[in-house]
Amino acid sequence: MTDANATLIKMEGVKKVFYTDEVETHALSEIHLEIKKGQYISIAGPSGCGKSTLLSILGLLDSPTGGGYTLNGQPVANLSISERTRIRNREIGFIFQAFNLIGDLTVYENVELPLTYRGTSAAERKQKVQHALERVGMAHRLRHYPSQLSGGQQQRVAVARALVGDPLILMADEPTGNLDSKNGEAVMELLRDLHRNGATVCMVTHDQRYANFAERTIHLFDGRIVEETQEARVGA
Amino acid sequence: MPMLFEDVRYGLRMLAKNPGFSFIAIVTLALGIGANTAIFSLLNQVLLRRLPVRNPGELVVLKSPGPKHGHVWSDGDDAEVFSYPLYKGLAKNTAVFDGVMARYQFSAAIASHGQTDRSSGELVTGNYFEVLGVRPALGRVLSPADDDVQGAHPVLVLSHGYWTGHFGGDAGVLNQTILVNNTEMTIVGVAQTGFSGVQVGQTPDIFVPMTMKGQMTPIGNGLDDWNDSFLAVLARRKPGVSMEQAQAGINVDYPGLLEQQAATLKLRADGKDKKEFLSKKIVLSPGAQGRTTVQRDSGPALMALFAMVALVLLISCTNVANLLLAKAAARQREFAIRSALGATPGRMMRQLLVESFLSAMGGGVLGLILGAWIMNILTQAVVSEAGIQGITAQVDGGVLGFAAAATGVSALLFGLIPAWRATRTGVSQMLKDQGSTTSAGPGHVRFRKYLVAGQVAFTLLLLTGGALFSRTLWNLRKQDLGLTTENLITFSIAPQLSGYDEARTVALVDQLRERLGALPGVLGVGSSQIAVLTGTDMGGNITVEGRQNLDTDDRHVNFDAVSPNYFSTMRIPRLSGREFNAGDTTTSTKVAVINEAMVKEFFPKRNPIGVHFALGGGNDVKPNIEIVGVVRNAKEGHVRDRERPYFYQPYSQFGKLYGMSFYARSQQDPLLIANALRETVRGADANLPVYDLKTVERVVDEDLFAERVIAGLSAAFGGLAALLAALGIYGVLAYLVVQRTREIGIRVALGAGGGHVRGLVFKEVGWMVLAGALVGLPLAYGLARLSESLLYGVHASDVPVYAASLGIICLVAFAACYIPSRRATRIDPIVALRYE
Repeated sequence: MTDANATLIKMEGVKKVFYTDEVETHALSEIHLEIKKGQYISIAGPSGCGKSTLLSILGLLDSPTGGGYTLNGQPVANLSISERTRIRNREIGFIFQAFNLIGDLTVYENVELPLTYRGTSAAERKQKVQHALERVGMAHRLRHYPSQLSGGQQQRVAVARALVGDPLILMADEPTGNLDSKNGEAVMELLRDLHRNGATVCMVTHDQRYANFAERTIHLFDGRIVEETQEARVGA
Repeated sequence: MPMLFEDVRYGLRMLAKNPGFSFIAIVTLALGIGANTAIFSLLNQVLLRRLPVRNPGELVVLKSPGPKHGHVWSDGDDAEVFSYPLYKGLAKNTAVFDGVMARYQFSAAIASHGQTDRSSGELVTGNYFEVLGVRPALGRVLSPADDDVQGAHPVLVLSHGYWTGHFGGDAGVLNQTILVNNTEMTIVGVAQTGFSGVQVGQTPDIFVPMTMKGQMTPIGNGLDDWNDSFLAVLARRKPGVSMEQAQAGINVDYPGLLEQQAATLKLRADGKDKKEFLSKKIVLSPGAQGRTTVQRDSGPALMALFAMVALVLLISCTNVANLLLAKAAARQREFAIRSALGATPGRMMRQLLVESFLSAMGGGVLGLILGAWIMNILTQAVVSEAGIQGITAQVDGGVLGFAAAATGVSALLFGLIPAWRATRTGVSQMLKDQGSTTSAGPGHVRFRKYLVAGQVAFTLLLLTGGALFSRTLWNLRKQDLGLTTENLITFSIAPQLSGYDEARTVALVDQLRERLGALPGVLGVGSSQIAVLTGTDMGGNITVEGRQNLDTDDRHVNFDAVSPNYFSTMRIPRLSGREFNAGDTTTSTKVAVINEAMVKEFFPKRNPIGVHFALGGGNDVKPNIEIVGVVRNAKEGHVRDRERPYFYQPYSQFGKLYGMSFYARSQQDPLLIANALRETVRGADANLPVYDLKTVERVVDEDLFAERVIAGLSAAFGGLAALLAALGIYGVLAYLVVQRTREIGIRVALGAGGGHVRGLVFKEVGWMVLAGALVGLPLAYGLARLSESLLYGVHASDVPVYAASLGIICLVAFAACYIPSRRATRIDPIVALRYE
């Protein structure tokens, strides 16, 4: 699934500044980061350190104020909105803290959504959705609505939605934040399984226990990378 | 009560706090209530108001459906007019009626204060005021003693309006004499205030005894003629006598009276005509509103308009309800807090209903002002163009009551459901909504979407109505009238009212035609007894040389008396034979020009030129009128009329000339010669009033007055409804986009492009339009079927009309969703996802 040691993401001197009423807030400064295909990386740090901003830029939800960003060899820092949208749809899978499933769509329809936007045929969508839901153990809840599922089940569906388009990287923003410890552990196990099968995962967490699931952790403080733990111990 | 006062105070504060909402709600309601109030005022005056007389419910109108013989002078339904001898016979019935009276409207040239005005008079039987129970405001009213001998009582009663308008309410008018149709008449009294005859749309200025008919209509007395039907007859039932009993009672005497009339006719003893004639019955209809000619003619149009404005009000209410639902959603936290503090749902509903009533009252007051303004415009047009007199723009108790009722009903319509829904959500529900980990589905706004779908349906009804009536007007305007209205001007004179006899009238018309024709810029002059396109008719049965009269034949034709050059001036094409000329005189052979429809009906296989015919039926009629020409069909009565058999005679050979209308075709704008025309008549006789001086194009406009009003108002109502629907759609979509911000953010994060997001919004509006169309189009078709009598040249099933209406509503809907969809595409997923 991956070419070992090939660089998937490369950030050079990325910074992000927010301007409000003549006040400049430097959310990120001089971020240099390289993620290779198949890596499981976690971004850790206290609240307000810039974790989510970094993930937004990594996930092309936002663009940097300065610096360079290359995704799979393509410079993406200054793309148009529609180009960013297209790449996001094809190359990135998102898992949010609050699941962010759409309330009036069934489990099947929620998972199908990225493929619909990609213009995939109905037959192919069906096969891929089925497969993704089987991977997360939710194939038996196809016709259910999110409100009929537990929090853990909703997050599994969100993971399936992130996986369904075979993205280059999974971006997970505090995926256990809204779950109890048992369901949190289950989701983390799921991500680890996906990584073992070749997925590249980039996760934001403030919980050190879950950060340790990753093979590499970078620590942010005041918008800067202050520490990086290489070859993190796999397992809780 | 103190709590209600508190609610009102708080409600006023809320209105002031949301000035944008309050403004839109009040203006929206004002448009609906104003339009309704104006149309109701018209409807009330024309269709609902009872006569201001004693116990109007006891009055009945007499009709006698079936064949008529002789001259019939009616203003709509021939069954409603009787001859004077027949009336006298009916009036003898005292078994079921307290009194039977009759009246006839006539044109009155009243000379007073040194000038002659053309006014409206009513010839009435001596018991007219007694039967109606109308008292004098001054002096006395007419009594049977004023009406016993023909021509013996030159007295009259003024209407209250004429007395105040022309005599300044001067009590000294009693016993004064004024000249009416060249006859000196003494004023003996003034009728009670508010009474203006027994027919909506006619407001007689004077009431004259019936036995003065010979003086008031010098050409044609007709009081002794069983076959001269012109009297409208009303009666008052005795107390306790039902309509059925009264009808049965009057029909006891009627056959005997018909036998007497039949004796004066030359009907074949064994013929079907006679049998049918003698089997006629008197039919009674309620007379509380007097004669219902105008009601019958304009009722369907007024009801259609009223239905339309009711829909506009319903749409207004839907819009305000939608606004209130949005406002209630924004106030959910307030209600949760109130609920937590112990407010019951009922208490909170009352608070919200008070706020609704306050908005409605604002709309009601503004609507009344708007309504009065619309009424003013409408009534002016109705009086001046449709000739329906007595309609005023006064805001009376009825109109005020209606406006108040419309306000109250509106408040309930738009306030009740939003209030109920707003107070139904509990505190826990609200908290649950705030903590959701899924985006809120559109279920929250489903009811508002139903409302918009309803608005779309109602708007489609109005747009379809507007399109159908506009096409009707368009078709009528594009009608081939058979004559050319361009640069043609007309005016009328009534020499008989100024004392002219037949010979002097003919000489005057000859002289005027010559003088008018010599005016600079005048290309041609013609004249006719009947003013074209004013709805006036003359008609009768004819007997054609060489054609056997059968019982089953319809031998009825209409006719007119016209001048030489009439056809060339009117530009009615001549197909064969000749026009009238100076050689067609009183003493020469009687001649006629007939139209194509008459050729088709009576001469399908032969050349009519040279053939003779006569007016009348029976065995001893001698055809003595020679057909000398054939002309194309031209509209004579109304633009809407179908082609019908018609013949023209020279006025010099016609006999009774009651009046004459002149037509002058000019090289340029015909109004430029209007003064010259008036001066020419004044030069011939300074005391001869000129009336109805106007272009023939204006005559056509007046004939199409009802169609113009319906088309104009329905199009305006359709436009207003479309605007309100656009506001409603915009409001719901804007709310939906805000409500679905998070969902849209998720979709964008997952790769939804601008097209996908716009598609979401368009899909919403598409469903609302589709649902509205599914309900609205069948309803529109049903209503169009009901209104088919008002249409012309277009059917209720006209597909392009529905397609156009649907197209307009789609355009409006998609225009309304432009801004919300644009906003949706600009949602930043990061900001949207922070909602979590």
